[in-house]
Amino acid sequence: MHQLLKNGLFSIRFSLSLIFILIFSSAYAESENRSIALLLSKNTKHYSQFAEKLSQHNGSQNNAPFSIFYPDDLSQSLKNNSKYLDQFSGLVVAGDIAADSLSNVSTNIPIIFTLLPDHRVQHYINTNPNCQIKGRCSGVFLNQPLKRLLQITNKAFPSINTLAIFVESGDKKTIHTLESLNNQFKFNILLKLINEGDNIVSTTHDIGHHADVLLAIANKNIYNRKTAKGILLSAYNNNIPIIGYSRSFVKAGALFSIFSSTTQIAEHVSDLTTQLYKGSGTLPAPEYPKYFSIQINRAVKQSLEGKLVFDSSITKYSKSKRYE
Amino acid sequence: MCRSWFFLPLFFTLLTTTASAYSQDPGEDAFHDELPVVLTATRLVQPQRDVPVATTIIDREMIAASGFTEIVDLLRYVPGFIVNYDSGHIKAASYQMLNERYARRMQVMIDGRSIYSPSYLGVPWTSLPITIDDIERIEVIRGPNAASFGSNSLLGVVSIITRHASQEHGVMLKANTGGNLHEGFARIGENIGDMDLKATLGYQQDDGFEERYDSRQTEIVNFRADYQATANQSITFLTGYNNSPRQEDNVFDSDIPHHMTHTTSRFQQVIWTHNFSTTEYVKAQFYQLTEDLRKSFVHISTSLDIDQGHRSERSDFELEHSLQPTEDLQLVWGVSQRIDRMNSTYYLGSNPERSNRIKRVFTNLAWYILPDTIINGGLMLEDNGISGSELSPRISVNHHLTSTDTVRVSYSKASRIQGMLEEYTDITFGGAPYVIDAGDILPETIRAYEIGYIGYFPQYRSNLDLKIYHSNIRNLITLEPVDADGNLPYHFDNVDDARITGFEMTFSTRPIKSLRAELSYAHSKIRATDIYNTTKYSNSAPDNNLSLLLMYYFPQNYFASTSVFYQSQMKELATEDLRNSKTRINMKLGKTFKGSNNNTEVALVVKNITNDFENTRLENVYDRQTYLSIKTEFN
Repeated sequence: MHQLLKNGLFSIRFSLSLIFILIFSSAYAESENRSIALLLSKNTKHYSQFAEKLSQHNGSQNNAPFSIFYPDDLSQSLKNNSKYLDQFSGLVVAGDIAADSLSNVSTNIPIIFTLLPDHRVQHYINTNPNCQIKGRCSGVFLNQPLKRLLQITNKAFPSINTLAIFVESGDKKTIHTLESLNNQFKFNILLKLINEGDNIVSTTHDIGHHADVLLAIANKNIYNRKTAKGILLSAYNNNIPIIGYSRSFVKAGALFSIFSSTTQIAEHVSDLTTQLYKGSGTLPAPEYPKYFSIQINRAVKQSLEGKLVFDSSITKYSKSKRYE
Repeated sequence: MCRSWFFLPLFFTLLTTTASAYSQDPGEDAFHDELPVVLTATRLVQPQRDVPVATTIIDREMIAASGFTEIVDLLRYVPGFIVNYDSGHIKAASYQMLNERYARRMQVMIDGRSIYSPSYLGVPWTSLPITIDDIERIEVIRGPNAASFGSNSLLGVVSIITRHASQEHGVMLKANTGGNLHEGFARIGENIGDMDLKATLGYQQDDGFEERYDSRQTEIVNFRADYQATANQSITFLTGYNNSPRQEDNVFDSDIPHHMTHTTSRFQQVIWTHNFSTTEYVKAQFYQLTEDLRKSFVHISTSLDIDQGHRSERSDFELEHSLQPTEDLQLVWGVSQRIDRMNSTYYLGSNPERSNRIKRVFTNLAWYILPDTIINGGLMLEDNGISGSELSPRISVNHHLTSTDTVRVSYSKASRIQGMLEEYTDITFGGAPYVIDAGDILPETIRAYEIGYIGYFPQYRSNLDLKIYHSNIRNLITLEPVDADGNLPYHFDNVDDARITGFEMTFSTRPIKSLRAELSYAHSKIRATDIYNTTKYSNSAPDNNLSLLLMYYFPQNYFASTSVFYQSQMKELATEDLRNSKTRINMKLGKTFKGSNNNTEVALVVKNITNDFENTRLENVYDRQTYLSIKTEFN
């Protein structure tokens, strides 16, 4: 009898355990099947590279699949099923075209905007109806925080008096931030406000009498294919090195650039998607990229020797997940 | 005035039709856009402490502060340079020695094209098809550098680099007037897609020296297009024209009456550059330049019609490859071919058309053999139709004692191949030989030894450059009588040797952004054989030469600059008379008015402020000169 009872209890415990395992495993399986959607603006080198790196990082961290779309694919899928996006556990939106294509799409899943400068990410979060719930949307900016740029500049040029920065006159936020940071460093910040129609090359020449270094902040109205040549030549001929914001800028002739590569942005985004896989439906506030590079143009550095004290060891401040 | 004026309406049309690229709300593209590779090894200046020979840079700020209106005068800021006005329009500049009206031993280039004239045997400084405002900077190599620039780089090299078209968008108008000078310039520049364009027009009226018949008018037109084909590939096209009627006298020969001469020079140049990276490029360039001189008069005592007109042409192709095969080695190599032609019935007699073909192979390397030690080596092999093959080597070792102190030891050998006028000259006067081709002239050669120190004092924002040198020059070519009694005819011959020993110093400081000073000093001693005359070469340079340029920028956009030049006594050119030491002080005061889309600069320039400047030639009386300059630039 006792043995019978014992066997019966064992059978019940075994059955309960089995049921528990089945329930748990099916829940786990359901979560694992919900992949993350990646919406890319275009099928170009930058976006493809970003998608590849993001897939690699997620593959190694989460063993999770990624579904890649372009705005046209998404629009077609939404025509067939307006709740199409809800099958995913999250959406990564890369670039302006992709972000724009989401403006009239309704979904309940978390969204991460990236490969966009800070003001564009903020714009999409503020205007996208899906982002009205706190923690639903986040982003990893493409540009560096101004404070980081100024800190690195300070380390690179320990003896300069004046740092020039060109800012569009309508960019109140950047102007305000720079004004608030002005007293925190050894150098003074010379803000040159650029208006439409200004001759930027001539302005670059003019700062030669006042500034020691020019810090370029990404803005296509100021720095573009049309103006870059004149700016670089005028600055160089006035012995004013330029700090750039992209790999291309340092190749063109900036003394060094501080930038986050698509790989580094992908690393940061994958940290956020890991949270989504872990079931966290709440995202942190949008962030500047955690990982960044400092790349020096050796030829320009060599050419400026004897004209300005430059600490080329700043590259050690580069931060990449690979080295952590 | 000339055909090139047709560019002007075209450019005004372009200026008004190109739309602004300004757009709202820039986003991600700014980070991804490929920018053209601009600061490549072709444009970058090698740091002073790494260069194989002493170098002086005259930058745009110095050019603007100088108040000079003549390009040649800017060389007064270079230690050891002598600038001379033989007349209002015959000007010469040379390094270490200058014993004639023309400087035959300097290589001068504009944007990589040699303007040393095969017929003029010098540089026609007042026939250059550029204006002083076109210049970005002047790099002066103080010492022989035939290993890089070929023959004629015997005493030094002046390399003038003009401004890229992308730096000069908009319109510039400028006028200088006062004293014997009246000139006006206009420039227009624009961007169309990947092309930057600019055109400059200029007119100069210089009345010359008071007691000379030497005034001139000069018309200048030049055009530049910089096309960025891809981020790594660019094509530059340049063309220019200078037309200048001038008065001419002869202070030595009363049989030559006052007469008019007329020079016309023009050039075309194409440069293609492909940058593989910031350290590797291939550059190919082709240029052509021509110079015409019309000059005729009636000889007073013989009533003979004399036509001294001549024409010279140069075509040059060069291919250059620069690379960095290893982390520690930078290498440039290249080949070139040049053809010089000269045509003159007066100077070349019965065979009035002559040409010289020059082929070159060259290589230069900078090897960072140790972290603090650089070996710079250079070698040029030239084959020319006059003297055959010439080999010009150069080697230097630069050692950085500390991060701010460098010592340099260098040796170089260079040649100056005799010009066509020296080799083939055949002048008759009234049927009798006047200057004959004596044949068998050897190239002039120099062996130069140099020890230098370059110091950088970052706490004072100052640089110091010291140089001690010894040069041994052989086979100096001189126009001398064929016989010892000094009777006609003359001929060019290798007559003298000279040894020059000296010391040079430049000190640059910019303690604050608004104050800059450039001081240069040179001391030299020439010991020459002077076979036919005891002072011909020995006194062809001052023992002491000093220049100082002070620049100050006041609040409210006022600025002031002062230049001081001192030169101890040296011989008068073309005679043996010693001229006294001289001091010259120039001053410029001005203000820039900044508008919303324009800048206007008004300045007053006073040259020779103390009025006691004595020119190299006695007849060239140089009083105090004052002129007003107005320059406006708008987008």
